[in-house]
Amino acid sequence: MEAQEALRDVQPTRERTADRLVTPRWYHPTLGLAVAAVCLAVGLGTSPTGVAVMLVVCLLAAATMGALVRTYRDRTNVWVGPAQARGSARHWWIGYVVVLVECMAVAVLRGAFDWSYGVNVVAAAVAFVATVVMGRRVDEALRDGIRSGGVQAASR
Amino acid sequence: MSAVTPAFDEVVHAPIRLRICVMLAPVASAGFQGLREDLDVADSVLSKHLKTLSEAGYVSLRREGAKGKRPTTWVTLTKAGHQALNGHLAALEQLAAQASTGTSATSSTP
Repeated sequence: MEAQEALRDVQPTRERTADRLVTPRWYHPTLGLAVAAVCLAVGLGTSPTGVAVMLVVCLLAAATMGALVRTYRDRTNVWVGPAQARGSARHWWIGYVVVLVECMAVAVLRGAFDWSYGVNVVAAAVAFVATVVMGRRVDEALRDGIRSGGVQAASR
Repeated sequence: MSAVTPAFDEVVHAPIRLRICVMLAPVASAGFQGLREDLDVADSVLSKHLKTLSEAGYVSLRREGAKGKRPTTWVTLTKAGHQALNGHLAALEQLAAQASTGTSATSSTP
C-alpha cells in the first residue's frame, strides 16, 4: 500500500534527523563561560581600564559564540534556531532567555545600586549554570519534538 | 497554527524527495553533505532531487564557504515547502485511513 509505505518511511527519517542534533558536550559549558565572562565584565566600572577590559571581553565572547555556532554547524551539518523550538523546547528556550536577561540586568545595574561586585559573580554563576542545564534541556526537548513529529506539525 | 488541507503533491511524493522534506522540516537548514549521508545516495542523485524541489519553490539553496575551505551548500525548506509537505502527509494519512477502512470492510463482509 503506497500511502502506508510512504508514511512508514517518515518516522525513521525523523529519528535520523533528531539523532543528528546531538550537541557536543563542550558546547554549552563553553557558551556558559562566554556568557558568564560578559556578566563579570559589565560590572568592572566606568573607569577607562574597566571600559577597555569590558569591550575586550565582550568582543572575545562574541567571537567565541560565533566560533561555537560555526563549529556546531560543521559537526552536525544542521542548524536549528529559536524559530524551530516548539512545544516544551520553546518553553525551555524562553525560560533560558528570561534567566539570561535577568542576570545581565542585575550585572549591568549593580553599579547604580552600589551593590558589591559579588552580585556580578553570582549573576555570572547563575548564567553559566542556566546555559549548561537549560541549554541541554532545550536540545533534548527539540530532539523529542522532532521524533514525535511535533516540530513538523507545529510549523503548519 | 492553521488547519492543514490534505493535498497530494507529486513533487514531494517521490520517496527521496519526501525524505528530504521530512528531514528539512524541523530544522532551519541542513548541509548537503549531511543530507547525502542520511539518505545514502550519490551527490548527483541528491543534486537532481534538490533541483526539482528548488524549481517547485519548496527549498532554497545557499552556498557558503570560508577561504581555503570547500564550500557547503545549505538547504532550507521554504514556507511553500512546509505547506506542500504538511498537505501531502495529511493526504497520505487520509489515503491510508481510507485503504484500511476499505480493507476491514471487505474482510468483515461474509
